[in-house]
Amino acid sequence: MRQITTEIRAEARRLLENGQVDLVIGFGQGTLPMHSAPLFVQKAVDVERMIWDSFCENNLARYLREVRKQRIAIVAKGCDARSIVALINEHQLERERLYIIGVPCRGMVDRRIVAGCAPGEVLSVTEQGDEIIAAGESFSLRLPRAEVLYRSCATCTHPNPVLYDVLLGEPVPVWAKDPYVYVRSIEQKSPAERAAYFAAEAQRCIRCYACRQACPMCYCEECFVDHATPRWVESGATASGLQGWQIGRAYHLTGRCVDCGACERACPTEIDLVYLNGKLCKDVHELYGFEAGIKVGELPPLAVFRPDEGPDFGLPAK
Amino acid sequence: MTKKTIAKKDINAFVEQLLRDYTVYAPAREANYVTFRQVASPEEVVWDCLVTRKPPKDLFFPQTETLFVYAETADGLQVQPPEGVKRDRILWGIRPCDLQALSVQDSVFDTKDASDTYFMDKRRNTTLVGIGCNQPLSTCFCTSVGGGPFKKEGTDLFLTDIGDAYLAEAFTPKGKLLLGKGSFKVATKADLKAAEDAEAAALKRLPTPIDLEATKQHLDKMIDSPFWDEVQATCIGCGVCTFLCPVCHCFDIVDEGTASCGVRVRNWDTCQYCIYSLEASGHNPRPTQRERVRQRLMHKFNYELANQNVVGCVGCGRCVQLCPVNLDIRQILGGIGAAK
Repeated sequence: MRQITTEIRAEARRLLENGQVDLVIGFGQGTLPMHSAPLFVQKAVDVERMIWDSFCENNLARYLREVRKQRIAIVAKGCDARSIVALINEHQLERERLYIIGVPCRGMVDRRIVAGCAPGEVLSVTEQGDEIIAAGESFSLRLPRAEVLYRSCATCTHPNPVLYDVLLGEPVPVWAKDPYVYVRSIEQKSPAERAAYFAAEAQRCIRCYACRQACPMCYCEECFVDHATPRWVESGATASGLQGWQIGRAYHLTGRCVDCGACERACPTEIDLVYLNGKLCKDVHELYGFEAGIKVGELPPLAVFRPDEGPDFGLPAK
Repeated sequence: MTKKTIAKKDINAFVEQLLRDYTVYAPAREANYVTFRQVASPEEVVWDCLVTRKPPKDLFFPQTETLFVYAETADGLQVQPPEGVKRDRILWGIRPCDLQALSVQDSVFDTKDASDTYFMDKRRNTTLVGIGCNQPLSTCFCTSVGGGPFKKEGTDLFLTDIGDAYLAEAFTPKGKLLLGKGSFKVATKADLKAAEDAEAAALKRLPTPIDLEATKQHLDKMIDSPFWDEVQATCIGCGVCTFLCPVCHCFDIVDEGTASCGVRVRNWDTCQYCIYSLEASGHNPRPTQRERVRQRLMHKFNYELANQNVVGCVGCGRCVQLCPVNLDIRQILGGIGAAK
């Protein structure tokens, strides 16, 4: 991790000093333990503020829509890079203006799991090999890294960036065999149980839209939920309003979501969005053999028409 | 003021008694976190959570509140207001920061010119049982903004953890009434000393006050400051900081239904959303996140002081803990003095 931090800083310095980019988007030290924060660096002197660790959890590709006029370098782990590819495919980004600093990712650590294991407030966290050491006023706790990863990271099958201008560090071996193992566990429930589960999850929603705002693919100028004339979705925090919002949000990401989990990480009430989005990713994968953001030029299946589509609008009939 | 103590072993029986006479809201588990909700038994109450995920503000100012139901009938337009609070309520375990926030809300919803019937109905019919914070978290900064871990203003009954017992101080008739419902003893000098020690120890863990007047004066000159460009760069424009803020109180009124029948509701709204300030013409006076982030700080540390003589932040630290990109209001406040 320390080595990658050094390399990120060197690369950012080089790019800013030779005027190749106006802005580098990466991560800096947060103000709390287990929080690394998105960081915008415009001057070479500030590159020392950049870091790379197990808490760089945001999908930085979401910032690219807001800085369209600048030449940008972006630190991209596996999921950020997939989002970039998906955005290029949806004509939201010009590849030429972008310099991708690819970083192989070992999965990000879920601070909520770590905090849940600790007997008190976690005041510092260090990483040692495959262990996370969390400490508070009267405790020190060693946790195996693999057991405290975010749900989306634990099942990630694309930890290495699919697109980059420079790759820092060595590609990591893929640890997950089945990206949908969690989705399958929910699918095993009966339809009534699933409906009750979804209703209970949605009921905690406070409509802060952190899920939407954290998502690289939610770039609409006007979100359907904000549209007032006519109103598509009930405005309030009622069961129908909350479920309507959650279903609408997820559906609009069908075949576009890269399953990064940034939405769930941003959610202040910890709603299981990884299931909701993961289910759609799994359906698209099974119906169309498609995973979003893997290859430039490969369009999302719901955005293309093929005369040889199968009877279920799925894979071509054999 | 009446000062009594109640042994910790007797506290569940006390809550049990309260549940017979009141609807009780307390910090309790919901999914993987603790938040204020109605409890049905004392066992549900979580005692060691200082900062609940959501503040108790929605118990007075719900996220969505029906103002009235309307319907066009043969006899003309019928308007039906909702039923008010039917059973007296207890808000159990409210912390001093959230109490202070409630007093700011009072200054908005209950003024000389207008009193909000919906808010005041709940406020009047609720007894507030406060509890002090022996071990403030690293994200707590109540003392920076005029509060304190044992500030009792506004409570009916206030509890201080003194080891094996709680010191209970009743400040109002509503609070005194509760003291008759549990096994309380008269507080001894040693009990009062233990409470003082707890407060002194808690204060040591908290930061020093910031100069709110100086902050306000700096902000007076900062409407066009490049400071906001820097601060807002990574803000993603969600509503976490404002919706989880115990002070924030903006709302939007919407008619759900048709012209002939429906419900008029009031929903939480936030200055962080693009559509908050979007006008019917299409013009938006706060077109980018820069103006929205600035608005949040200006309202809390300038406008609210100027208009209501209260500060719009109580230092609970929820926005610090839960901002998806770790935009830390303490850091922003620190930067205001140095900004141009």
